[in-house]
Amino acid sequence: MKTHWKGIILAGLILALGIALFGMILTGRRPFARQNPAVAAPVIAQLPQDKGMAQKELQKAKKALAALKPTKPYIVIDTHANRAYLRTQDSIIFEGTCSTGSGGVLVDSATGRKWMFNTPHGVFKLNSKLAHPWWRKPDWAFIEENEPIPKDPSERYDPEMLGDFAMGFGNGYFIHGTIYERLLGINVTHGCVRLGSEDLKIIWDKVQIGTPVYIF
Amino acid sequence: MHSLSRLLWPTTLLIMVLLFFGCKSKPQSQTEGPKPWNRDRASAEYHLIQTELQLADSAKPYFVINQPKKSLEIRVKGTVVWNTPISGEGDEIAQLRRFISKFEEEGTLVRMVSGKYLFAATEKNPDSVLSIVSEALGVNQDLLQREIPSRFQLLWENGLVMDISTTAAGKPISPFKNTLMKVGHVLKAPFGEVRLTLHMDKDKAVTFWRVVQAGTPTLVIGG
Repeated sequence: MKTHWKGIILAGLILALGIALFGMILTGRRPFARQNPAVAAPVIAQLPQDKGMAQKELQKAKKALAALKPTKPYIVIDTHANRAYLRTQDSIIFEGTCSTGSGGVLVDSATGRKWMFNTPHGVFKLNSKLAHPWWRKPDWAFIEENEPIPKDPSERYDPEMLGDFAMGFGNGYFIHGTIYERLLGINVTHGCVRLGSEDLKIIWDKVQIGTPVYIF
Repeated sequence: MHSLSRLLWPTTLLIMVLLFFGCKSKPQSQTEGPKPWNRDRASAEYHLIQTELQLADSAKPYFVINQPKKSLEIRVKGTVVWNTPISGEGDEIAQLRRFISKFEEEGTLVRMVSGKYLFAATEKNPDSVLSIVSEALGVNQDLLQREIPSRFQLLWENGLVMDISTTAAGKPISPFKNTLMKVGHVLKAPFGEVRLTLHMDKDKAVTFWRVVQAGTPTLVIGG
């Protein structure tokens, strides 16, 4: 009788693989996935034994956490859903649709310069409020349109592109209006946050220089 | 008689003043007075604050299950940037209690999401605007459109599962994988799997699904 060794070995391998996968399922591990530490490194946080010192330490910790939280309404930009909010810790004061960075990359074939059009994530503060802003077009705006970069700086200015208001939050990024309202809700910008004119006015009226901006 | 009436007026006035402040201060001391020092409670609070301060050290978002406020939150540097209520329909609150109790075993306040799985989502329907935009921007059209999850799961070690269904009507991503996942849960159930089943608005779910990834720290604030 001929022994089918190949078949037996293959069946054995499949059985072993099945048992391994079954074990992974039972132990809650994801097969073929990158493993992350399941539990964060424990925080060594023990209060001093002395009651007075412990109370002082607890107050200090409470103050440190409270200091992180804005006391006035703050702006939140949700780049995942393209939504803009003016909110407090517990309630949303205003909510609207925005557009954020496309994530696209532009390379200038002539010079090799490269731009990535992402909206930065993190915590920022409004550092400027401009009414009727003019856009000073950067080099990439001309390269993207296959136009020559002008030598005369006055040729860079566009009085309409940013809408009625612009609020800067650092590194040349602004929350501003748009002439392309049809594209709100889509990731189409070069990194700035675009809002519709009505929503922009509402937020403009309620914020000041120094208002925190959370982008995630 | 005259001297008696002269004494009576100030005394009456004094009694009235004392009565007034007495009545006013009594409820204040009952409701707003400082709680007596409880070392265990203070230690737990201190541990929670220190843990959150450590998470808030980075500008990356972290996920918070807030039992006292009955809400799910995404926070950045200690500040809420996204939240959605736990409605309390059905036995959601009882499930939440069991989930947090299992999560906090051995005093653990933070666990990393170990995995996530999308059962069903709405189909992407690229339109002409998206195709023009994607061409103009040089960005893949598929990336410009968000898939809206209609059912997904988040997983943590220790047999913790959060099962979320949304208001979006979607189609199964992979019926075969979905069945495998379901079988896996059936097999794990006797080994102490704890499941929290929640319902969420589809707009909220888009953000939640995209932000919470494997490795995202999850902090629980117990009741």
